[in-house]
Amino acid sequence: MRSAAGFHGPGESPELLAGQAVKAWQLAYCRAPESEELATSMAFLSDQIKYLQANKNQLPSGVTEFQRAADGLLPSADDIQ
Amino acid sequence: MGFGSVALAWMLQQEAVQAVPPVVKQKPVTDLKLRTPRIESQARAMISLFQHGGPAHMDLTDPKPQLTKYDGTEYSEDIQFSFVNQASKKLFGSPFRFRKHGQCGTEISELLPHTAGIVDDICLIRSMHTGANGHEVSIRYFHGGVPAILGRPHFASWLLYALGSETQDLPAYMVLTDPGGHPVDGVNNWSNGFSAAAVSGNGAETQDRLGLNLAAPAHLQGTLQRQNLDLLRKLNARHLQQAGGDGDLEARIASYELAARMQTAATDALDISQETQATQKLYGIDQDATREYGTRCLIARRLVERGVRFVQLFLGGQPWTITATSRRLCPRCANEWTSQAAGLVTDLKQRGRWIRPLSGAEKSVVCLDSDC
Repeated sequence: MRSAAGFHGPGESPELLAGQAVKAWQLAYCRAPESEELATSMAFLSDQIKYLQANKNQLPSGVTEFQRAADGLLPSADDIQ
Repeated sequence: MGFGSVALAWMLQQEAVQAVPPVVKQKPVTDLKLRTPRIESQARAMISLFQHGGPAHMDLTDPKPQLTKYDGTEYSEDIQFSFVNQASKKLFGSPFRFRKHGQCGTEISELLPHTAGIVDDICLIRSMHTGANGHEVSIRYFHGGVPAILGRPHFASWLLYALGSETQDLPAYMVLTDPGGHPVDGVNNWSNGFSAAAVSGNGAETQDRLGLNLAAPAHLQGTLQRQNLDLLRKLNARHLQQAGGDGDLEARIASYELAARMQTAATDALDISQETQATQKLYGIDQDATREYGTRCLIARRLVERGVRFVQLFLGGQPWTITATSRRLCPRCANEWTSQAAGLVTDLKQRGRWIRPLSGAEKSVVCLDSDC
């Protein structure tokens, strides 16, 4: 299961953001992120959510800002060479 | 509680139970930053139009009057046959007429009227040979400097190693393959061999993949895509550091980052609609038989204009193969794959980007070469 549909909860709160970033890494790599990886992932999620909140026209209907951002995190994790 | 404090708490928790990661020694890597050679180079870029299979030189550029004189007679000396079942000592003169052209008076076959028109602007070498009998061994000799052996870098890889790249938005060494398939010996034709993967050739199909799939999906364009790529770059950099500076890995990461930059640069380079009808006609794009190869030749020019160091065009398979049928096929091959080279030279010359081989100092070199 590698899509935003696998994430639950409001997601926008910082506590859940960290937990969901860890979950994303577990889904992509079957391991938790190291500290630097987690910090990078959280910064990414935060930036994407902020941007999408200000630019809702780039948000597909029925998808929350967090789901869209989390979906971006997972493909990026998959694409690591 | 902010993001940072959440991350810090989690980090401290993790690091308390994790071992210290081993220190990995970094290996030197090869990059494509522009380098200044000790001796200034005369040409900035090169386009190679490789004619797989070996055009029959005695039918095209190298008249053999003695062969014509003894046409149909038995050769009196010993011959070593490659294919004994087809052994024959009967001599076969060229059925095509040669005539002197240009101020230089070089004799060119009637099959190459366009080449005849630029004969004063080119250097025709009639003495080059490999001494090896066979297509693959000769191709490897030509490209790598050693007959038959795989694993030697293509000479373009050496060019990149020495000179670097003038563009960071396009591959420095591009191979425009035939939509009909790969040439004989496949991707070995643009191998970096034992050298760094960063100087390897980049095969590109101009008709579909490269041309149509460059744009990001609409919902990802702009800031979102840049943020995605920034994340990927950070994660890849960390992965590379942990791997100890692996050259292949670094080249692969660089190629993906380059692919993102190519969305703009390559789209522009491949858009030949920006060219005038007169220019397109020069490359035979107005004719069915010459359109495909002419399009690639024109794209090659647009690529070197944008800083690509080396572009090589290949034909699918080895259509110029010298067989008994080649005399029949030779006119067709000459029509489909040589007139565009003359158009390319003429176009470069008009733009002040042509360097006459073995002479003055300008910008680009076009090389029409083959394996036999």
